[in-house]
Amino acid sequence: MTTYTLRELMVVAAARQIADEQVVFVGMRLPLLGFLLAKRTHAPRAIGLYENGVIREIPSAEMLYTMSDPPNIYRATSCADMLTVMGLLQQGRVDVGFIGGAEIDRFGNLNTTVVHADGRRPIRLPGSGGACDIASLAHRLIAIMAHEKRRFRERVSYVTSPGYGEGGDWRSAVGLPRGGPSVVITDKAILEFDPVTKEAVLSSVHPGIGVDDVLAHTGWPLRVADDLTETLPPTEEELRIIRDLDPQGFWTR
Amino acid sequence: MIPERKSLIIDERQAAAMIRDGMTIAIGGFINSSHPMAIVRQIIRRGVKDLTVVGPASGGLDLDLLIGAGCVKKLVTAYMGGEHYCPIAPLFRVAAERGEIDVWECDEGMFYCALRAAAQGLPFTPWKAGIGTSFPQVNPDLKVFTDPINGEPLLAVPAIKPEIALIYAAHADPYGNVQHIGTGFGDRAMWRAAGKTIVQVEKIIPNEEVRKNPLATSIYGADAIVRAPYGSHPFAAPGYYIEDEEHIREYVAAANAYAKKGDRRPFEAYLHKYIMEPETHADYLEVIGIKRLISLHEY
Repeated sequence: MTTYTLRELMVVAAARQIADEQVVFVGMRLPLLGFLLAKRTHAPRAIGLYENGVIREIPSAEMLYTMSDPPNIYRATSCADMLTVMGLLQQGRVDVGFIGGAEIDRFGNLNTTVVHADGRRPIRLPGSGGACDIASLAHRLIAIMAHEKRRFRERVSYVTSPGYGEGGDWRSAVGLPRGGPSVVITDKAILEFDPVTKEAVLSSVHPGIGVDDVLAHTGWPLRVADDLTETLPPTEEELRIIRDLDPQGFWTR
Repeated sequence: MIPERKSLIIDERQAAAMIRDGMTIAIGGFINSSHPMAIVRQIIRRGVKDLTVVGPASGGLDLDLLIGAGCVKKLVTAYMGGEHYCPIAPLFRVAAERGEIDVWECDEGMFYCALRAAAQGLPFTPWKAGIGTSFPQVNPDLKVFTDPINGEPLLAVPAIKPEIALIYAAHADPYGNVQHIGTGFGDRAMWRAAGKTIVQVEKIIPNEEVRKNPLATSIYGADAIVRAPYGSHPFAAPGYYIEDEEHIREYVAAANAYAKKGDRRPFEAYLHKYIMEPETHADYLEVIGIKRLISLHEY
């Protein structure tokens, strides 16, 4: 059996969220690699948008540390204005967007601005970047995070990127036009959202990880899906491509 | 025929002399790329205070340096970090947590809305993202209102007009016509909004070169041009050089010594060695050294 790292599994899980021909708002960090993997496997016609204005139909030839690396400019389809790609989001022309987060809550609201930990002074974080736009406006939102109890909180203290607010039809009630988190990919599991209550539900655990472990690292009583599955491991082909793109394991070790 | 025109080329000292205490200035680029660092370093040398700094939409260690040097009173940006070098800008974090700087809380879309409203001479730009988030609660300048056309809630983002925008680009002619390599990020949005624009470039090109490829002209009619080769260092310059990883790590280590351990000496040493001691941009490049500079190939 081939061995792989949890981060390689997360990259593969991210790539599998991209369907062919979809317009993808790629985001930072692991999705940079996830998009390249999807393009080389099941989604060769997907289009990548980057908030710095880059629009790509052909994936970059080399691994990316950041969206602004020279290989992401070279042979891009367009280097547009940043407001142009944000406008595509606002028009509803982006199928799926990826973001990370420092904290997430039961209804998929994400915080990357400031953490108010109990009884401690506030801890400043880097801020939204484009995350709030992506979470507000993409048709589907995929969040990628480390699965830790301090990050998975009953309620986030600051909503940088809207999930389902207080649940139910909160998004349409406040006037958000579409979207909401679809999947949360962590280093332990994959969470989806109840179609009615919009509460996060554990839908899949990664191979070798117990449900108890996931629940112990979640800051609220996490619901477990009736049809809970095990996350499909990476294929030989997927691992070959990831390691070809990132031979040093910068993103995956 | 084009009548004879006056050259707008100035040096980084003349450019920085236009920045006075308390001004609102925009700074272009994006995280680890394309910042007008020759001018930024000269602003620090001059000890300019109480600046309101607008952007970049995703700000990086250029702004962190300005904050650490005590030049900034208020920051308008959606992100402050160095991506894989440091997830959070160290001196920004310290200053924000202690209340030493004000942060105009926004996301990237709102950031561009504010510049766009200024560029259009409008009081605000409507935006759909961010409704229901904490942004309108913590930033009283953002107002949720009812769209008079469709009756739906929207966010009104007020105009922010920088007095001067400081931009980095690859090329300009002597008359203020600028051609970026790469996306140019949010630089055009800043130029359109700002009262004046100073563009620091890698190379001055003839006006004929600009007109050979007018589609490449990203900014026309900038108010001043500064020629500063390797002027985005230690950050990347699309078409010219990649970021100086070793230098950025040196900065992050110095900033973290203060942010995490309260020891300001390494940051003061950084400021002294790279900013206060060299008198000009050329002197700075001598400190960095020719070997390091020419090692920063794009590929």
